[in-house]
Amino acid sequence: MQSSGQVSQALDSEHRNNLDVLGRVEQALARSAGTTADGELARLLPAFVRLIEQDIGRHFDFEESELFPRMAESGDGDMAELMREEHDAIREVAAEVLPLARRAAAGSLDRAGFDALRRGASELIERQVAHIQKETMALLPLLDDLLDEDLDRDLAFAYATGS
Amino acid sequence: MPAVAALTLGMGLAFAPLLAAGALAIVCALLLYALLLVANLRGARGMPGVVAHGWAALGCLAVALASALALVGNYVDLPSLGRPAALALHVAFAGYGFMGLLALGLSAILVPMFTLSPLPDARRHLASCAFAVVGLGCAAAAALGNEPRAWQIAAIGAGTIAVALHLTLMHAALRDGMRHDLGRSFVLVKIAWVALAASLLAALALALGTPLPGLATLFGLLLVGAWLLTFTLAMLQRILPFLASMHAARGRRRPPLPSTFSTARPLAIHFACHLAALAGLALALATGSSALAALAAATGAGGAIAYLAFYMVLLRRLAAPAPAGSRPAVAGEG
Repeated sequence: MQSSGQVSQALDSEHRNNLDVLGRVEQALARSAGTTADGELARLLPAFVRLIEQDIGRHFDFEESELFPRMAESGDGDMAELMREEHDAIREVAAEVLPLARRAAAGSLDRAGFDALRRGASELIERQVAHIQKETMALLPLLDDLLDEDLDRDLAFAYATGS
Repeated sequence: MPAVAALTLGMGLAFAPLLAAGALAIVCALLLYALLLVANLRGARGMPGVVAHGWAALGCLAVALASALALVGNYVDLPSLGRPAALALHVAFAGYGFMGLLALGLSAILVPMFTLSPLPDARRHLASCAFAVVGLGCAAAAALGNEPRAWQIAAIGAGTIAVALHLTLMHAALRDGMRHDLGRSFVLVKIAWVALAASLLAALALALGTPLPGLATLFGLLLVGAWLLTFTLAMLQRILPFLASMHAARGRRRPPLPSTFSTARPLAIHFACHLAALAGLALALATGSSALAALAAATGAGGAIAYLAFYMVLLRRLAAPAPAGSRPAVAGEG
């Protein structure tokens, strides 16, 4: 049974959307034998860029400011610290991949850049998948205990509205 | 590890003092393990089905250890529970109880984690646990009571319901998961699930006194080799690189990826050897061929060596000094 909390459901939904995009990018990269982004990969790149630009940072910032401190207070500080370290690593890879993905989406990436995009995207995808696996099993089930009904509703509203 | 070796050697050589010493050391080790498990279960939050399986497994461990000591008592001529009853208790409570319930309980974490599926329905998971516990209670009554066949059949019936509920949950996790290309490890997991169900069928045939040669040994092969061992090796080859990556993460700016700790070739060799060994042993039992059994055992040993190679590579990579930063992901210029 999935957690009934609104925050948990929002995060899980974003995880699933991210995984959907990343999975399709992974498959498109694997199928792309060429040296440029064309066909399916070209169609996916705008969503990939948007995911890196907006979703990853916003999602991570929310967890770090609102959830990890509560995890630490309730005795799961080690897990929160591990998640934070993984966020830093993913941010670093994402920062390297983003300009390449933007140029590929604009059709201005050369062969070396495309190879670098392929490597970087593969690393980003593996890190994100492993991170989401951990959060799904370790973080989301905790939220029912960490957040009471009012706090859960307030945080979910704040996250949805970006306030 | 030395205790397991001593126990196995004591059994093989029919040398009771060595057997007893090994068994006592294993009991001590498992008691320490039980203390750790209690501490973890007391601190557990959420996932009531997993926690229930853990507590039930802990109770089964107590029965498994008591029955193991009774079996040792029989070997060294100390007064204890009769060997048939102790053996029946030990097989049920160690195989299906302690190890089996841990496997079924932790599956509710591991399978959704690797398939990226929603968590299993907690009520169904709890119901599966409850039927398993009822089945084990019936197995205890069969071992200790006056109507063993009726209790055995009741135990198998309850166990079958528990397994059916569990497999329904696992099927849903595979169906609804976002990762469908799960590799060889999940082929092994699926084979292990089939073996779990087949072990109950073999148990029923045994309870009904079906005159099949080698049936009791086949039951043991299905329960221990094909279900528990296959499942454990399958999950370990997925979880070890994952844990190694987490362990290596501390203090690194960009920790190594789980995939950097895995090696495909040893696992491919293990996969082929393990399945060939199981099939060979089953065929050896059906034909009564000791030569085939020896060949199957040698094949299984080859698989074990390959698995060891996978683990050694993982440990070597884990022990390697951290490079500055980590692997550079992207360096190209466009």
